[in-house]
Amino acid sequence: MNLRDRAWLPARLALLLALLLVLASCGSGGSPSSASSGGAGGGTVTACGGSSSGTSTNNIVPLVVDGVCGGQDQAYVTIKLCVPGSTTACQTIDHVWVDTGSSGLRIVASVLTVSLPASNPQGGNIVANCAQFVTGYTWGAMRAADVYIGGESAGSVPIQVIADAALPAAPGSCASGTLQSSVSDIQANGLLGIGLLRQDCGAGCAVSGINAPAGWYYTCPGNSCSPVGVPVNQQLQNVVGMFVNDNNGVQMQLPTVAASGQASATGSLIFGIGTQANNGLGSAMIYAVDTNPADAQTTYLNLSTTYNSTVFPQSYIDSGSNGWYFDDLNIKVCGAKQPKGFYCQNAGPLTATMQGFGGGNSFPYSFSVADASTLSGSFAAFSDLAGPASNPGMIGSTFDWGLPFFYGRSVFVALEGTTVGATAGPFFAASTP
Amino acid sequence: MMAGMAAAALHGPARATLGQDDTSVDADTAQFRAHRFIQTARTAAAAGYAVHDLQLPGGTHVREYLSADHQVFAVTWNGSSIPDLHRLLGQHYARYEIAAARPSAAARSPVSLNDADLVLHNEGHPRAFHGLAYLPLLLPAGFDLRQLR
Repeated sequence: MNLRDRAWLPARLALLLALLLVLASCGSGGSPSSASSGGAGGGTVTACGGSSSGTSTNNIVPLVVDGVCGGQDQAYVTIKLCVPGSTTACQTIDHVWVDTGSSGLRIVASVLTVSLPASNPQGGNIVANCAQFVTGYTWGAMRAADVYIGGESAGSVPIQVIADAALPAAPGSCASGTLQSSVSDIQANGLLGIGLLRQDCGAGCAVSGINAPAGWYYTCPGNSCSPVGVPVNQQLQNVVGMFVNDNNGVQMQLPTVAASGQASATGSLIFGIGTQANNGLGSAMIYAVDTNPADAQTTYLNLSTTYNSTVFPQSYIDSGSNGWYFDDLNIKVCGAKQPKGFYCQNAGPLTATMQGFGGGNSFPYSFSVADASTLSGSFAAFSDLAGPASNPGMIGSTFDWGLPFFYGRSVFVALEGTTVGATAGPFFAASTP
Repeated sequence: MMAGMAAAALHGPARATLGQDDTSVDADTAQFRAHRFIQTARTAAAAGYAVHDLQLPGGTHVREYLSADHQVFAVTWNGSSIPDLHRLLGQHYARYEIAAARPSAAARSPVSLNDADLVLHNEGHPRAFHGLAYLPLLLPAGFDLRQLR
């Protein structure tokens, strides 16, 4: 099957428009892990996948890129959730999408077979959490779970249960763009945000009363939702920062994949940086990011990229983006009846130079762009899938180093408030070349 | 039917802002629980306009640009979250949603629309978003788009 024949979803929260096509493939790689009572009716995919591959040991778990949930260049891990304090009310969930571009664990309600308690309800009301992305949003309830990933564990972690039946619809101040509420929408059973920060929001959301910010936390008494302040330690937490051990960051390793892709790829998600013999930075280059929240309108959390002699100051490394997203007016964008949002011309080798914020380390990385209309739709792992970051014909300010960058290298994410060797987090690091 | 809808938009509760008059900025200020600062443009080349700078709880900035005849011809935003675009864009929100839902959009790639009567853009990632929307047909004569920030 070729790409023209199927829904090709630029990932990061893909689109309802393609939902029907995706339904056919989500879960086809194994029996659904749970046809649970999660509120989903007949014909709706309640979970995708159903089997995990590889063996977890200590601080290393398999990191799998496959098409079982319908996506391309989405990397997944298997986790286990338990009702806090229980060793029996537990559930293993595979195909949880690993995202270096956000922080916090989010699970789609239809996947859950265990009943998780509300996490720190306010005034008797369960707290709602909103996650805004540029093109859409998720909306769910704050619940608590003990989280196990490989040999690591964290107790009573506040997580978001997406599309939780306890909540009314999201208010307008959350809901910009497309609602992402199902396994089919996100092409995963959940999202494991292991980004640079410890919480989704932080101190800005700990303000209570009339000054609680919109767009993050709400309570909905009488089904009318209003922003509410939530103490930092009760917000959605980056699970890594709550691990008992190996809690200062992560490393993602994926193997090299063939030009024009392959069906799947399996690597490792490794917890901790320099905390054990197996997780040192080695010769990886450290890239600083802008750590000043006052730069929220410009470069906060970003590094810099130079491509074609143009500087893209709002660049980032994002395993939750399923391609190289950058603007090159000389590469043809796919047209009608071709995979939308990608380039449809072979190009390369190309060079993009990554540089830390403020002019730190830099390194020129080489990559290629494949004509997306010629790629196999039965493959899921591509190192050369790419598309424009801006509207066709425009040069923006972002170079998005998506999952294709991760193949054949080690990429590190060091958490804020930690120190790795002599370097304070948060930062990214990546092997060279 | 159309006339009825237009009348409702004019005389109903001021709700959205882009393309509406300055009473809608008052409504936004209240709804957003914002602190408002008003700047009057000193740009001689422009016919004259005012900027209402709304600082929302959490630090997100919304700026509403009003022409001399009190019409909101542009809005911009930046900060850690996306403000209520239903309210800011009003009747134009539906076109934002269509632009955001285009299959070509990865969720972290910008949402853009460049129509003759409406230009909008939104980009960024969680904790750092920025965007703008304006009505080209309502721009004051001589208005420099670089003033939108």
